Amino acid sequence: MDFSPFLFQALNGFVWGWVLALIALGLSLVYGITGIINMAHGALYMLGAVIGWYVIQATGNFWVALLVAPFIVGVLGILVEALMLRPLHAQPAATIIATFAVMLILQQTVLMTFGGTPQSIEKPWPGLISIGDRSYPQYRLVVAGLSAALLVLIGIVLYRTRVGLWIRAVRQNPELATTLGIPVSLVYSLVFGLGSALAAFAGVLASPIVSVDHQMGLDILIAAFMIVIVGGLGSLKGALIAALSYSLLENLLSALPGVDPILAKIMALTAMGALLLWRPHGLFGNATA
Amino acid sequence: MSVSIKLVLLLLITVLLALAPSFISVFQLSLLSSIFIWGLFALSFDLLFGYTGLLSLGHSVYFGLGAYGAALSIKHFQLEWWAGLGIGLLLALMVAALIGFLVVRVKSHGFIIVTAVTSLICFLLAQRWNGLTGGDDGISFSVAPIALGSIEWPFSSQIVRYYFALSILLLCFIFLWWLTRTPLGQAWKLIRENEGRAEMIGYPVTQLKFVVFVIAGTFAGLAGATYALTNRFVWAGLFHWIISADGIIWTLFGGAGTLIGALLGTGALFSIKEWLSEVWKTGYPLLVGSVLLLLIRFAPNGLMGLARSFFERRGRS
Amino acid sequence: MIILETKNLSKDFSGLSVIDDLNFSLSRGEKRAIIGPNGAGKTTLLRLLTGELRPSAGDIYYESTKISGWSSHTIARQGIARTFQIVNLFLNLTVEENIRAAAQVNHLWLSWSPSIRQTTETILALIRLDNQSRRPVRELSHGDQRLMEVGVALAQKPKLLLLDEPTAGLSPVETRALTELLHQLRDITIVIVEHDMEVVLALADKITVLHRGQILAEGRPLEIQENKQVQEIYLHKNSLASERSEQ
Repeated sequence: MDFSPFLFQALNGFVWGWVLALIALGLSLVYGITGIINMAHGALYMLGAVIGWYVIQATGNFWVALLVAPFIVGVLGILVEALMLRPLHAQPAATIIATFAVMLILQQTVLMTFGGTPQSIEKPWPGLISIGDRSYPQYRLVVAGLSAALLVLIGIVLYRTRVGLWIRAVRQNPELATTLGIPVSLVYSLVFGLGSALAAFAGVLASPIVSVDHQMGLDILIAAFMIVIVGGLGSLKGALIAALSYSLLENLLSALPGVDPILAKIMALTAMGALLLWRPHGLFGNATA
Repeated sequence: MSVSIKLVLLLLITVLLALAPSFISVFQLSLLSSIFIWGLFALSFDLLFGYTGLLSLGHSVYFGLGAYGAALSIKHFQLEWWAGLGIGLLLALMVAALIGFLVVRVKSHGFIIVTAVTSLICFLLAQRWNGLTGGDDGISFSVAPIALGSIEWPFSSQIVRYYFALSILLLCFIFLWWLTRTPLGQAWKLIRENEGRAEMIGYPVTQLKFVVFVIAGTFAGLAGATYALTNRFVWAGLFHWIISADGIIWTLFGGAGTLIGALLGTGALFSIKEWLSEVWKTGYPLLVGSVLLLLIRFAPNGLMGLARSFFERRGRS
Repeated sequence: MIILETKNLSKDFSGLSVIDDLNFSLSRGEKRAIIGPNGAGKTTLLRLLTGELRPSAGDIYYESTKISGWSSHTIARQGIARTFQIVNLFLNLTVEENIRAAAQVNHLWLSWSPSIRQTTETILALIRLDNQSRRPVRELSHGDQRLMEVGVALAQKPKLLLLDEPTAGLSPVETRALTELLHQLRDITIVIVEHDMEVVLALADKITVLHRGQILAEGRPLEIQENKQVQEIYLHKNSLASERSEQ
């Protein structure tokens, strides 16, 4: 049996899994620390890609876009949290609805300015690498590498810096953190900004692979949530493992004869959904990863 | 406002609505018919979310199943309108029972996402099996007129469609009005308010959640079947979770947990949507987003909540 | 007649043993107080009895039926009701709605029991909140909310009433009112977890002293007060508690 389509899809799944992991990580961080279920997270991913597109149009440089877009979206995230979400005191239904509203507004604004036609972006790294008897775009591997690097960076920030300590303290016990002099509100805003920036970063990275479109966040949102919950709400390790597993599963399934991408997606979603029913707290739920 | 005043008001509105075809345009009748159908959808959602506190993003599944159940059974088996309606309703009920059984055990955030996943899966399935479902292009069909003795009321007539939708809405509303006043209806409120204590008092919370999930799904299916019959067109997009989101928004805008709020919210926002689509096509989601933000921050109990505090303030002064 | 007993009941949390091989038994109609230092396992015991927690080992028998492992709502319907240390009511619903919810639980789903009005009024009169029946519970004073806790539990018409520190945070006047109310409950078997020794001595036929998840001593109030071990471990600490409650 010819295994190269499986290998090919495994690579695709692996690469895309890292992108999903970035998105899920942002979502999980925000939920784990602020308690906000951010329905706008997909829109922030999309916004990153769109702003990245504009930056590339202006400067012609992808890497500049990769730095600028997440920064802008991160700042936007901080503003949204401080102005619109904080007064809601993290009540689940209220934050879901409010962030859903933000999603609507972002999506429509992009539709009105950027337009409804999907745009494509050239790969900034055009080379191909031979794997077996096939060639694989080098850029995709770069995506995986950059995502992994960013995840490691986040890990370092969380576990080796003072800000990271603050974040983890607030997550464990917000009241105690306040009495220790940690500026909890600032931490909340920063975390939301960080989560938004992560989504935007993933958006820019993904834009040469998928096309930039005002609805690209919508498609990814539900999968991202599911990954976060299957991994265990608030568990970063869980989000990574769940993201890679889901993406690998979906892509490998599509390599099977007779299975088209949509069916593969359905099967992968069903599998994850079933996993969630069996383990409602997720794989690493309640862990303080 | 006492119950009797409310009843009189409702009666008045019903009479007005019944007489409407004699003094409003066909276009407005069509708008109202849509409001009745989507209002029923919002009502079913209010039962689930407003009364019991279960935020389901998968409610569109049952609407879609009701619509497709009616459409496909009528199209392929030439059934009468009432058989199509019944099949749509039954299909929604059975799937709601199946999914509900699995899903009500999941805790709050997981529940929201798992229900969203169910609608995503159904939407993808509907798109993929486009031979059966017509995918995003949908399928249209024709149905035999409603026959009463020798009188025939064809679905091609806007007036027939209007009264059809209105009758179904009225019947469902009366039933749900009664249901929410029974101890069962109150039990759902207890679950919303303090699930843990409800369980400790002796209420079988998981079973009660299952019951409301199935009932709400069934009424969503009925709304879907009515949609199919009045539009004689269904498409895969009916399954998308964005449709569930619409239901949530309309219910919240009118005021969750009041039943009437769901209808008011649907009426208001649907009309605005229609009006905007003439004037500013892409403006509607922007408007809804902004309204939602203001709403959730300053008037979380929607129109009905605002009305209630208005009357309370007047009562005190 | 034994109404409740536990056999070798144990509960541990992540290796930490909170209830340890407990053999506890209760007679019908008895008024039993459970006292002990914080962390002795008193609330955990109540939670095991109501089904909120599953035992790690051992069994619980209620009216000779094994109930360990049953769900809380099933146990509640057998006639066991509980109040909570921290107010755990339906805060946004009215006083009447709270009581009515508990009163209706053993009746039909689709129609209100004809006796519901009667039961609700009786309970409201008993806890002296009948003039506030339409107020949302969150607007009541803390003392009234604690009375509501008892009212809701009583509305369930329980055979066994478990009270978890019902007088916590109450003024001496409020404490006395509640104690009097509890004193009037004749036919119900009562287990009361309390730190306030005055309340315990006023109500209890028998006291069980819990320490580190085991029964340290059990007997009539006078015996317990004179028990040297109990004095050392608990009553000595309790003198601090009674100082606090007098402030």
